[in-house]
Amino acid sequence: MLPWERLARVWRALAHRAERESDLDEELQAYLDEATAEHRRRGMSEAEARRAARQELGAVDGVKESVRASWSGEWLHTLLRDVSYSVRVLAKRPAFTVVAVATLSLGLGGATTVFSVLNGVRFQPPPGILDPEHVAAVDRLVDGRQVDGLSYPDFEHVRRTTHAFKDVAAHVGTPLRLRAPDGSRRSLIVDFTTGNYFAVLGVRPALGRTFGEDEAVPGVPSPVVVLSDRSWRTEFGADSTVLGRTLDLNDTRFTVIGVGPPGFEGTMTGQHVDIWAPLPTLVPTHLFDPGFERDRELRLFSVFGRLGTGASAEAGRAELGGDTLTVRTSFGRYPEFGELDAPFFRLIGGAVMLLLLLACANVSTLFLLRASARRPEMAARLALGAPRAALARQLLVEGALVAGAACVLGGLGAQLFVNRSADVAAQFGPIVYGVDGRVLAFAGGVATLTTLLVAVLPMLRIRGVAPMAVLRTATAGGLRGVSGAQRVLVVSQIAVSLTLVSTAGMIYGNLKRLLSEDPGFDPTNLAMVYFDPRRDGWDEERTGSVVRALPAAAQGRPEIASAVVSTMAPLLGRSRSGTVYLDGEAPAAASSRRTPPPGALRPRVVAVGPGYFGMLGISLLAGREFVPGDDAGSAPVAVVSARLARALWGDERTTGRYLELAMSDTRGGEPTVRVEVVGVAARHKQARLDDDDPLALWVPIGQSPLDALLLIARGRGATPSIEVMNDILSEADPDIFPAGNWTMQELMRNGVNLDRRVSRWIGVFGLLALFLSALGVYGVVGHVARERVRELAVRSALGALPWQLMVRLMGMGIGLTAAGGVAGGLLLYWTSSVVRRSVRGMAGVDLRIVGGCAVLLALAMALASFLPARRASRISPSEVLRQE
Amino acid sequence: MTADARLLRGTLDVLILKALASDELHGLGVSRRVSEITAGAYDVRPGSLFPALHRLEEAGWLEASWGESENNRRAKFYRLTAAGRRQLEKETAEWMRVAGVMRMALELG
Repeated sequence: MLPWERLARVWRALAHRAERESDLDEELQAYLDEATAEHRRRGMSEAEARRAARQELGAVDGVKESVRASWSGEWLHTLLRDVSYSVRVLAKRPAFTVVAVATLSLGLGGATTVFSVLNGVRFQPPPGILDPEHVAAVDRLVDGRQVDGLSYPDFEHVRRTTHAFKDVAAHVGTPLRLRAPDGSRRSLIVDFTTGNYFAVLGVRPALGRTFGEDEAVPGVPSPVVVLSDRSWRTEFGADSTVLGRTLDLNDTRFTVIGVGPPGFEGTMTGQHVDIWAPLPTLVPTHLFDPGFERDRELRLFSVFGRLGTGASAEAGRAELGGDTLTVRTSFGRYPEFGELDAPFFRLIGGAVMLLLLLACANVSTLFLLRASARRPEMAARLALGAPRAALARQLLVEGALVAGAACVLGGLGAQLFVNRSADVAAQFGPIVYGVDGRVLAFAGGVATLTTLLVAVLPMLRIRGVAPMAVLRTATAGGLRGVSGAQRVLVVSQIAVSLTLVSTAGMIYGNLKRLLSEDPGFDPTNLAMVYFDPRRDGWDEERTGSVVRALPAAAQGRPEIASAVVSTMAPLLGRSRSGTVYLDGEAPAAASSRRTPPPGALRPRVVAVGPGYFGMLGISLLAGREFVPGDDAGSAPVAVVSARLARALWGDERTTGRYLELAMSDTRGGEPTVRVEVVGVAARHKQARLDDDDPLALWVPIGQSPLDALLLIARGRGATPSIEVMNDILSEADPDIFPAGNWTMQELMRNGVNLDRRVSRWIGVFGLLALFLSALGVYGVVGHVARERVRELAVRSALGALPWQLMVRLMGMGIGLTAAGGVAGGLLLYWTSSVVRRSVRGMAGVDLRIVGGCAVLLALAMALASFLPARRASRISPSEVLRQE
Repeated sequence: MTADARLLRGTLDVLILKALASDELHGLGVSRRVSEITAGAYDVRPGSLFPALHRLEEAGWLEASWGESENNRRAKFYRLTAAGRRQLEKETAEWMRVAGVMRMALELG
């Protein structure tokens, strides 16, 4: 039979089922009549004949059931009947159904959301690349860590020596100033690439062409650009005549030769590339100096290659030797980004997995309790002749309905959440984003399996029980006790909720502490504006005069109290670092260049204008700070952090000593300068909120090479606005391009933003967990109360007071809570080490917070066991005993 | 399960087909005919008769229609279809072969 014929038959069978059913009735009746008539002919009386015929036929329902089993489409009918019956059963107990479905969908929806986002952000290669699994990135190894960024000679080395790669490309991306024909200026992300970049990625232009190797020969810049589809649409109105137009980037004219395909936005994490330009044009745009391709210290190039047929990332790794360079297996996600998001996802991921488990545990508790309550029903149905298989099938359908509803709801919820957070995710750069089917299948599978398993439990629990016995005891009010499995489930729920709530509390407590601690500088009313004279193509002389003029110009305005220029501000993030040696101990320049000796001190090095410490309110433990006279014409000086002073000389209050500072410059050298330490700065928060005593060294801005700069200003009574800050810049020099604005408030907030989000999520999960475990305790105590109603009635009749009964009942809940608390403590001890590694500045387990959470938990559980206990303690003994 | 019931299994279908080979019959008629052709060895109870009839009808080997019984009562009559006849021939041949082999084995072996 063809499938569609079979289908048509099933359909016909279902459509005509009622007819068939009455046909069968009639057929059996006719049989009875015939048989009766036959018996009559043999001389039986009417009554005898009829009885004999009936006896022959046997149990009519049984005969009908076996006839029906032979009908086609009967399984579908049975299924539909089971479904409609299950729907009625579930609808009859809406509280159970809603809680079960809500619990499960919460657990699996949460897990799906979090892991879909994680998958999109962490493991998906950037979109738009041909066979991304055959593209692998090359990393540098620093102290065993993989770091993105190779020098051009490194790149050439990789390209020359590896055979695993068919071809290797390099690129470096940076924001650049685009001057529009109308004079307005915008910042665009420009990716400078080798000529084979597009070929290696397998990216073809949607319009025009891409540039090739002949246009990217080192030393011969060819000013052409390819626009990304996004920038073509947003910046150029999707104009199809854009080819051949010229763009002004950092005062260099480029010709547009092509537009990239939709969806391809480069391979940089956190950046959507707007424009691709040939690598050698880094020179005419003043970003790199001529000869950068020979600079071994300029490790700014991201390098990736396409693996040859049959070659693996491991083969490439083996070829590179693994000393200084290695191959990353997954392409597109930068290692630093991993650092950035890993703790977030590790914590949230862990919490959400716990929540999924908890949801499953909770649904199990619900079903277990219900199973006990349904024993009489099951027994009755068995007694009425329902086959065990049919009962089990119907219970499975019930479970499947609950799980199915939860999967649909959870999936939809995840979809909604992931879509809503897509904008946030886009900040992380080009990302493939959406609910991950495999994740949903996994979470849904776990939830469904659990539900199906616990749904048929009522069957297992009445196995081998004579229906009549169950019915008799059930009506008399005696049910089976709370099973061990139930106790374990409730205890683990309590443990998990205590862990989650306390963890959230500790993370929150930690960020509160970080924010409220004395930062060591005065953070009030500080605003910053960032500008990059190098990017604007300035020389040191022009920069120097602006830097000298800016603070005075700023302080001339009524809304500014004080101002200073520096390369970095507290809490703004990483900065350059240098290697520091005791006076006379620096190795010869040639040998020091590649790798500093092990144990060498690598402080962060910040160039600051005169009066920096005073302006920020950072106190000096010894010596003086920089004055306008500390410039290119005077002897090199430095201020060191207290920790650096201790590390060098074991003394925090020393000045007048000399040290040697080696810092790489963009010209390929790492010159060592002998500087006099004129001051020691007191402890204050620097790169991050939890980092208040780092190795650090400050040098006068007038004695430092050209770098990106910050104007830091303190407002009078209020934080200066972005407009004011940008105004100050353009008044000092109309050509300065303000490239970024921050306020200290923002930096402090951002410093703990991730932790705040983590603690909020985990806190929400924890409260949900708490609620779920309270429901569990409530259910168990309520169940025990129902089960022991006779015993309680007898006790009450014998003179026990209501409160005595209550204590007996609540003892159960209290015992479970205590066990859960102990288990939670152990779990917390184990998870706190993970949390400590993931959250900055986090100390060990904070007993005060854990204690507070435990009290909260105990109160919730006490309430959860109090309510059913009180109800039970108010029974009227005579009423209960009369029911016997 | 009694020995008879075991015997019945698998043989019932072909016996019903055989019972209907010459004439159309209603349920009780089929039961009596099977008893007749097996010389009373098979007493087909309604509990197996009706499921078998419906199964064979579902397979397309029988068709049923309502008619009048010899006692002028309304009854459902079954008759072989062309496919049912082919099935009977096929099963007969198969049973003959099996019976021959079994007999050879048990008598001569």
